[in-house]
Amino acid sequence: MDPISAAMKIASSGLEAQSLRVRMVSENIANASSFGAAPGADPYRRKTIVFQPDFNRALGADLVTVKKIGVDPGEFTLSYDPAHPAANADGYVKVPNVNPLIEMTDMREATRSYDANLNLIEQARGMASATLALLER
Amino acid sequence: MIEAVANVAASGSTTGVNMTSALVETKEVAGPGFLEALKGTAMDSIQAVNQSETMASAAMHGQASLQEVVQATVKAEVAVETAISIRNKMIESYQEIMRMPI
Repeated sequence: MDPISAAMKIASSGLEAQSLRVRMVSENIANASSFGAAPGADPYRRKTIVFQPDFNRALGADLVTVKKIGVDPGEFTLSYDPAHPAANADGYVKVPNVNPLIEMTDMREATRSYDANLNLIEQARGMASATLALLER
Repeated sequence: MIEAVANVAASGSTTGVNMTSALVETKEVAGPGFLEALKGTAMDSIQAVNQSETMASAAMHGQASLQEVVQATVKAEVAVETAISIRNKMIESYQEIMRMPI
């Protein structure tokens, strides 16, 4: 396969990976206040995403793929709220380990990376067109 | 490449047929080379267009991601552009030869 098409294919795999990352960030933000149902139960655990290169034999190049969507094993903070249904015997509720600042940073990074891949596709297309323009007089 | 174009022109002028039948005819005469490459490019672009159509319909059914559809469409666009540019150049060369005073 010619390198320009390959570049577009690779960038497109980057787009997919980053869009999955945005999905994960939105899950985290949406569930930032999803508490447990039963007294003392664990609340929502923040999700994490791991990327890995994925060698494509047809292209002879590494695409990117999501290795796994895991969970953040970090501690839950406790908040005193005896009225809450998920409060334990001492009146404390476990709060999801989602940090909005971290999520926003992650989202920005995903957006920038997405933009970079989009630009790459546009550049590759421009290169192909410019080369073909040589045939026209 | 110039020889291949000349072949096309030669067969076109001897039989007095149009461009398409000249292409078909020289395919038997000429060995591997320019025409095969041209055919390959045409097949590639047809395949790319088909693939982009399949992707678009899969997307309509919610089975393909936006990224896949756009990638397939851009690929098809580039392939068709390539095929058209080569065809235009080919016809241009042919006409240039035809315009030659004998």
